[in-house]
Amino acid sequence: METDVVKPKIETRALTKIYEDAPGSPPAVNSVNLSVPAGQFAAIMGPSGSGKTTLLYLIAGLTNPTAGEVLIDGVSISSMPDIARAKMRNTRMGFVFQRFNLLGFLSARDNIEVPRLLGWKPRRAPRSIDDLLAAVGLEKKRLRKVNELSSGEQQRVAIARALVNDPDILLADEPTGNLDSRNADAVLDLILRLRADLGLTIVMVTHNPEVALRADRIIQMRDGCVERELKTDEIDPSSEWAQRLAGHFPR
Amino acid sequence: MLMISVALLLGLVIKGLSTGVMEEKIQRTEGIGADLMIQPPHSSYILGLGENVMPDSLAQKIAEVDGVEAATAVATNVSFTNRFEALFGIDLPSFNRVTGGFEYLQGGPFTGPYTALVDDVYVKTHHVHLGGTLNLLNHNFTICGVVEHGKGARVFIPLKTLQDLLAPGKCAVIFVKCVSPDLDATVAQRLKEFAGGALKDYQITEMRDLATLITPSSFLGLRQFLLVIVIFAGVINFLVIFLALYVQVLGQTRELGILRALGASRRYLLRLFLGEACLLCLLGGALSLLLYFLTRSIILSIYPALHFLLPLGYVLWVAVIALASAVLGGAYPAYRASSSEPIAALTYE
Repeated sequence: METDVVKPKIETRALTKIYEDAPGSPPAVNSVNLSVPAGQFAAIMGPSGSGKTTLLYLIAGLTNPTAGEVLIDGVSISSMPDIARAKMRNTRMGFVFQRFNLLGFLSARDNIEVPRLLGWKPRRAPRSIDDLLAAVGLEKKRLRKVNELSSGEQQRVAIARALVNDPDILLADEPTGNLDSRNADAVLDLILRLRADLGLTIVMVTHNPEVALRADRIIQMRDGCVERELKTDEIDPSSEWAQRLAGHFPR
Repeated sequence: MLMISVALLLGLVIKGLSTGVMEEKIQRTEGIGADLMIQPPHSSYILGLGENVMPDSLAQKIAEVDGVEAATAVATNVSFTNRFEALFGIDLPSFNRVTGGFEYLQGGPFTGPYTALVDDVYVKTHHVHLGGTLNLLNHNFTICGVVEHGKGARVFIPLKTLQDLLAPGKCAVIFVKCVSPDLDATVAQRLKEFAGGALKDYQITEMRDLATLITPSSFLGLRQFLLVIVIFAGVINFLVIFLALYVQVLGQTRELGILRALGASRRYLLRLFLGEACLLCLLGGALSLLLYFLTRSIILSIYPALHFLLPLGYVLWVAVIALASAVLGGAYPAYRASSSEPIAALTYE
């Protein structure tokens, strides 16, 4: 009898990161084994300093692990040369930051276009930037400098930028962390809608339990290790754990 | 960019001016119309810089050599009264035989020992006029004629007068007109053997070779001076580009991190910064050429007698030096940019 084996889109094996500029300090990420199947939305939670962001940067190939490896579609990116990792980041991954990290001197449209100017050929026929602007509801502000936009609008520009090369993976580092609750909800709705449209695999670092509870799965970290993993459809939002979660990781 | 262009401009103006002045000297000397020029040993090809040490009687004897149509002795002096200017002392009848004679625009030949002929350029640049007075070698000369330019010097006085003031009976150069220009080499050889080899150590130059003989090395140290200027421009170029890009890399740490996170490779950032260095240099170079033409116009409006000539080869050479210094100046900032750690940059405030 054949069994369907779902290959993980993102996998980490004994992933460890010790920052060289902080000798003697404990590992930021300590022997993390993680597997995120294609199309899953995984939320990483944990207190400040628990290694969430470092884990995300390791998955993105923005830093090298001290030990272990990250595999994307079964291919280790940790041993890839810089140029191959850069290509993967550009063509297969989208990255959304808490502080947006937009180029303030450019317009919304130009910011979205930046990943297309870095010398890589997109995997598929790229979606038009105007379509992306429409998808994030900014078609009327496309020529405005991003510094003139509200924080919610800036984050929507950042999301459009992350999706400009049709990635299959979206990595987000507290994308709602700098937004008020109304904008946070709007941004999250947008991410989830785009996920459904584009079939994205999402790994999102968040402090917000309400955001985390909208993911498929919550990975709870502490001191660089995965402390607990839960499927959200198995959690009762009104349960004691969910209430404790909300109290434990205040925004 | 302005700094780069100013540094390059310095080299272009000095080269343009020195080449232009030399080219104009060549044209003026060639314009005399002689086929051969005889000078004492080790004389400069720049007329006026030679000393009056040859007996002028040689000219008469040379005129009798087979194949020689005419010969004329010329005494020279450089006048610094107003500006650097070569002064010719000429024997008008023999000078006319060799050169075909002056074209008088005003007035006529010498009317006395202290009369002078000036060319039209001299009139324009020194604001003198026919009948006016020129002070040369602390003596006043009356301008008796204005002639068309192109006969070696801009001011001419009688040979005897200049000799009396400087070196009686001596001259600095003898111009020779051959019966046929094809005989230049033959006549030059005859002159070497003339009078039992009396002229064998003298410089006998075929005028057609003059262009190749008057070069920057004709002026002591000019070639080295130009080289120093170009190196100086290169060093300034290097420093300007290095500092500009280094400050840019330091100030754009966050932007570099963002680009890295979005998929810019190290090689891409390296290319980006080296490209910017080269672009800065090319724009600076283009601006320096524009400034060169502007400077040339300004200088020529003040000193119309000067000449500029910028050889294309020199422009290309300066471009290569500038480009090389741009690549060198941009190399370290580009390396810094390409090796920036995205995480450090993304957390940069």
